Amino acid sequence: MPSSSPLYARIRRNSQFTELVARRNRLTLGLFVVILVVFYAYMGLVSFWPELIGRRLSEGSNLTFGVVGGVSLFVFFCALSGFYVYRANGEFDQMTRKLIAQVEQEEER
Amino acid sequence: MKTRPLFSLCLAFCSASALAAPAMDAATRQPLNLAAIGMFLVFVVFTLCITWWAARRMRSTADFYSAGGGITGLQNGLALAGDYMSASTLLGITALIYTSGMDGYIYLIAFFAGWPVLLLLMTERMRNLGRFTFADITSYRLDQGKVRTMAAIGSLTVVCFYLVAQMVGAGQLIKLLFGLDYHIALLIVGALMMLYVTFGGMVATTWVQIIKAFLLMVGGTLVLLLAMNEFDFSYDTLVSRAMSVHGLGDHLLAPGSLLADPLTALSLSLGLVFGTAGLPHILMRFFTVSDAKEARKSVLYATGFIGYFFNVIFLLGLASIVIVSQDPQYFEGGQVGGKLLGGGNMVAMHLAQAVGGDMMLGFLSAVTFATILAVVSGLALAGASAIAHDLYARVIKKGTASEAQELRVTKFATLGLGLVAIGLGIVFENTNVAFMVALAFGIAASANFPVLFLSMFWRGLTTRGALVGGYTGLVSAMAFVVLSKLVWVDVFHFSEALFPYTQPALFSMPLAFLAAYVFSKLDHSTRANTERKAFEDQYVRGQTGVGASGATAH
Repeated sequence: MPSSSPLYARIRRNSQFTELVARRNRLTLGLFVVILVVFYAYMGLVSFWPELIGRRLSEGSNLTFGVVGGVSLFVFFCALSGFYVYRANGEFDQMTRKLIAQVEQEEER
Repeated sequence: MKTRPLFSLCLAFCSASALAAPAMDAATRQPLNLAAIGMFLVFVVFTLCITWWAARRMRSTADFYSAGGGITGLQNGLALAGDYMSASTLLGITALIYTSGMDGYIYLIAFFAGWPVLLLLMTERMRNLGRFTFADITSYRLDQGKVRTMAAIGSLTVVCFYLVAQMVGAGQLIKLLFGLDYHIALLIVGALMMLYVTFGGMVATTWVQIIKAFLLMVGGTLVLLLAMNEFDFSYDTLVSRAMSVHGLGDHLLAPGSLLADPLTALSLSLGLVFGTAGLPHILMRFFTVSDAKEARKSVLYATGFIGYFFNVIFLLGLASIVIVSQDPQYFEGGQVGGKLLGGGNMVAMHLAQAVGGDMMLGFLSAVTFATILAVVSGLALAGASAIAHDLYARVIKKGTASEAQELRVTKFATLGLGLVAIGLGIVFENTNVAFMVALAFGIAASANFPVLFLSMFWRGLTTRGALVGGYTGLVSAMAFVVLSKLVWVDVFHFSEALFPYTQPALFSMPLAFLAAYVFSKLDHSTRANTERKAFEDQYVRGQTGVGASGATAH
């Protein structure tokens, strides 16, 4: 259930809230675009340039572009998720706590 | 293999039935597998003890739906991974790599890409806004009765189709692995599922899922280590030998024909990525942790576990090309290159037997059975929540039902779903149920996801837009699947499909978004204006978690 509307209104007016939201949305949107671009680039290569996916990195090596790219995708997506959680659970949660503390203080006054 | 619908290959358990169907006659039914049954009994006794323990602590509806928010990030991460790593992933995709090589790996990548999207778009706001079900969020500022009903219908449709597909696959597979009769297998799965969910609620379901995810990863890793031992732990040797024995030769690691059509590949990947973000049993796991911070952590853990396991599967598939495909004892009549014993999906099981003997085979079989149980339990819980929390407590009783009444309804709902699942499982025994999973993912991506997403991100969404959008997604996804090859040709036996793609998401998802947008924009009623204004408060809560439901203390 939504709690008191005045509290939300006060948070909304707080400049820290605007900053928190702007910064987090920028990060989220940026990472989301990166994920889509990287993923669909890979899928695009699969559809339109399949020879590259099957090509070996060098003659005599069994490492192919497709598998190396695939493993990199797994690692990259994990790293990217880790990066987001690190920022969100650290920096952004701290900003949120500060913001709420400040708004509650205002309320007492 | 190539003529089979894409979805039957991996997404579902039903792939087991699709591939194993010709081998269903009594002749190929396995002898009673005592080692497997013994290990499975240990799992059942242990999980029933957990259920008993959970039942004694279960007092409130919050305990039932969300384990009182008392699950940690790591535990929930394992449970989420467990929900996603079904038996079909292990069996179906190992088999796909065994036959088609690289295509299987590309599948795994597409299957995986939904997770970072889920983390970025859904996790935080869902946890901050919802309490028990995703319908809580869809209907947060909209008409409780109508929008919640729509969300609950979407949720139940996904659950039912997925559940039936799992049950049919489970029956066929258990018959093969354990040598049990199909109907007995269904009864065992259904009965255990009802026990776990009615008595243990989310706590028991989560622990069943955690234990199973752990066992599955341990089992997969053990088989992999034993198998890689035969290649001196060298990927290079593994690939060289796999290429030398496989019919595809040097093209083993090049994309095959399965994803050659760009539109099919696009529709499939959209369905996978956004369908994941609309699966009710996955979404409700966000409410089992204490706050958004733990929810984010749990998705990160899940991403790691799933990423690891998917790469294990890739190597298992390659290893089985060398180890299984040259061993006459795994082929009918000892004919190498002929039909695999027990059907195509048994590749992973044969590999386990080849490298680890009957004990390893028994262990992996038991884990597979446990996997089925865990997944159907999660689905039944999500369905019961939609019935008891959304339809009964919020829509019919309009919030006046007592906790005790609501809890009683959850039990009846679970029993009802269990009976429906067993009944439909029997009805569809000999049907190719691949379409049900295409439907489940299609509806999740087209009915559940668009409205849920818009309700959290777009202030303009109104009740009218949500209803039209949600039902458009639901109906169009169903229609596209029915007119596709999966139902029109494979079930109704018409000669040609009216809709050329087996995956509806590329078409039905944009339709749902468009309908929701247009009808919201055209809605100038006073109620619509109030709803748009209410977005402001919802936005603050979604961003900060102020007012979010917390963990209940015991």
